[in-house]
Amino acid sequence: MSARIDLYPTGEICGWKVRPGRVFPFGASLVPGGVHFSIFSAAATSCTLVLFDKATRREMAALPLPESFRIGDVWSVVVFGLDPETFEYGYRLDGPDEASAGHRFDREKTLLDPYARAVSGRDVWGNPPDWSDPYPYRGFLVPEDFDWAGDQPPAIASEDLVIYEMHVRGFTRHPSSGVRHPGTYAGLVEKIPYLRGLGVNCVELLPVFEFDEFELSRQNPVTGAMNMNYWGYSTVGFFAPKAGYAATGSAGMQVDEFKAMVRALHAAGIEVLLDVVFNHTCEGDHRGPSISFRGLDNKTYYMLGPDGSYLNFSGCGNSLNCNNPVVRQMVLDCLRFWVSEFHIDGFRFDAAAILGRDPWGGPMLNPPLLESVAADPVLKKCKLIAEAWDAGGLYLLGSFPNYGRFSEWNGKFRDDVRDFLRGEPGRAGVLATRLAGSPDLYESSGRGPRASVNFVTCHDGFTLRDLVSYNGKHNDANDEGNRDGIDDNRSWNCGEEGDSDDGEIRQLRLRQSKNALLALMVSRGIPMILMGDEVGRTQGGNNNAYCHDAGFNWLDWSLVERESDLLRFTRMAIALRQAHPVLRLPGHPRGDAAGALGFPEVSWHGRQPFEPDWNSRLVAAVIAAETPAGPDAVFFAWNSGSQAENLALPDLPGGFAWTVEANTGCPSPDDIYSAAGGPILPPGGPFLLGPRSSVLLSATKNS
Amino acid sequence: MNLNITHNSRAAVASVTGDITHAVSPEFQSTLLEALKGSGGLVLDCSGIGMFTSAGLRVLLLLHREAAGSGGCLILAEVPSAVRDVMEVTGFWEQFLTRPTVGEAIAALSGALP
Repeated sequence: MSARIDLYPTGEICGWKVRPGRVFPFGASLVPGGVHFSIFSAAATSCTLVLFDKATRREMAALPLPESFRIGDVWSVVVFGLDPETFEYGYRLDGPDEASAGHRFDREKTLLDPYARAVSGRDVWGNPPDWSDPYPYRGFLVPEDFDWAGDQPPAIASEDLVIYEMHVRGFTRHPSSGVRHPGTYAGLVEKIPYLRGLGVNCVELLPVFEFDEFELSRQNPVTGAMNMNYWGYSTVGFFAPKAGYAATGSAGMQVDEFKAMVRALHAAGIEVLLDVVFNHTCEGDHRGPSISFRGLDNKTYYMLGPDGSYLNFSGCGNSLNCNNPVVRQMVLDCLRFWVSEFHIDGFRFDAAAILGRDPWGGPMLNPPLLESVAADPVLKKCKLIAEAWDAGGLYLLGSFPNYGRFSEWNGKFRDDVRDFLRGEPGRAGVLATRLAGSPDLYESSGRGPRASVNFVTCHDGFTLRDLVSYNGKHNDANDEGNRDGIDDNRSWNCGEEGDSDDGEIRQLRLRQSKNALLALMVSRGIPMILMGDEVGRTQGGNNNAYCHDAGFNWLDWSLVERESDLLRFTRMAIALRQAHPVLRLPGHPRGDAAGALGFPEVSWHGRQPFEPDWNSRLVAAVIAAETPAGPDAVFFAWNSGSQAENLALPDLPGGFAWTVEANTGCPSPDDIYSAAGGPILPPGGPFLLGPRSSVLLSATKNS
Repeated sequence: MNLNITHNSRAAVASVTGDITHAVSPEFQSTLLEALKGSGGLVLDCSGIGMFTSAGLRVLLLLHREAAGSGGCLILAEVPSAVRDVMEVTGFWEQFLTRPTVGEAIAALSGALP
């Protein structure tokens, strides 16, 4: 077959046939006969493309790009005869090394392309790096020949999501996982039946962009092991999946394995959200290494003070200058890339308040980056979730610049549910607000409960089991003298700090866990569960476990048997949420709008119907709505006091009765039922709600 | 890496031994393409494959597409479990025709070709 060739060499550099590139796209891409390279720098005076032989890792060519290959601030070139499978690449840029003016060029240093779609150097998790390698992270090209086999996003409505926040490696790394490739994307695929059985329909993966688990690693005298960057909130390459999470990373196939994982999750009806870290990079402050951005165009990529010093709103040394138009475009390109190339369903933006800061760190009312993301046509159907604060003290919960698109990790939900759970007095009112989807935060703006990602625990802080087992953090293993990690845990150990042999304490902890999970599932908004909370995973009280690649950070699959009671409860609580449309409505329930069965959308109660006591430890609500399947009304009550409460139940119209669906005060299997599957209560009769217990009843038709 | 090709009336059988990585793939690719074009049906005896990388997989994909595009057929036989594993976790396994043994592959080829 004859092919028309419009791309032919026009010259030669160092023996390689070349021609000027087409500028776009940035990065390296395959073109007929060769490879197209394109890179931006505003302040560089020269640019050299460096090619390495993949097999020997030796430099095979350094191509200084002539000025005629530069359009504006972009150098681009097509190199012909380059086999995409046999080379890796980087750049060396010259320019001023004048830190006070914001420039930190070093022409000796080979730098990673920010748009590199795959990065080698940390291919197998934990393999000791070659510290003498002057260019440890190398970009390479990845074929775009994956067959998605018709894959489409599950497109689940936000209010119907149940998110499972998880760590790819931690999910199956434990020897008990029994998967063929522990700690990998492939391992996750093997456990999809577990996720389906649990009933979650969305996974939110802790960072999967290429990072270096050895960043700032050191021997830890307390544990005798290495402190590592286990979580990965420190990006090396924004366009490259973490190779060390791939069973095939050493074969350079992390991209394919990642795509196969997404395809398999989608086939199981599970969406994939990525936790993305655009607030800073892995280069740290002035003491950190030059890996990419610092040497490419420090002044463009980072927020700098007048003296050229790094502004640090991330707590990690630097802040990405994400409202600079060039950087903003890179972030947008990155998100589009993950959505189009990897079929990602949405993003959770780490420390997203930084994304609303201007180049000098000031908060903006109308941040162009967030506006662009919100309005982007490629991202149009993505879930966008902000962690609406940063380490620089900007706290935007409820007021994050959202353009009608961004949800928020609702930190107030976490705090208020924890307070109520531990029995703080006078919290019934705030708990009610959280149950209603936090109208105090999201009603006046018209955003509604879909803006509220509800959670009691997340990777940051205690696990659920630890929340009911520890009064304070126990971070000694981090080797920072227990100074790291937050002190505001709002936890209660149920009578003994840490592990307990006391049967009553253990029962109470189990019940408290169920209370938290039930409240999460009953609340309007989008519930999020932390990996392992459904089986009582503990970190031994460590509330900042970012640095341990160790057993307590991994999901111990023997818990599935040992904590089958809690697992069953969690699974059935999720199923109850899915069975009741009234729990998932996209609006805040109102007390002055008709719901169903004679009740308003929400009514509040106490020991007596319609007599709530907002200063008590008792919250009770009837939530009701007409749905396509008929009237849906539930009664939820939570007593966080130490005494049982006798509740007079609100009357139902004739022909209906209250049916128990969950009662954490009862031992399994009477703690939870399938929808309308529990005992039917006699009308008008008092209901005894045990101490520190919660109950969910549904209005069912008498048969 | 060693490649040994034998032809019978209906098909070529190529036995490959050694590592299929970026270091050998261009040679591997051109020889196999030639064998495929010569016979239309190609059985690749994979039992001797050691290390297998992205480059190796891409060669197989190319062959597979070339074969499909020209009315031919490529069947992989005796794929070592480690290679199969790589192809499975990257989502490519189901794209290929495979048989446990070379004999079965040849038989299948006879059925598959016109």
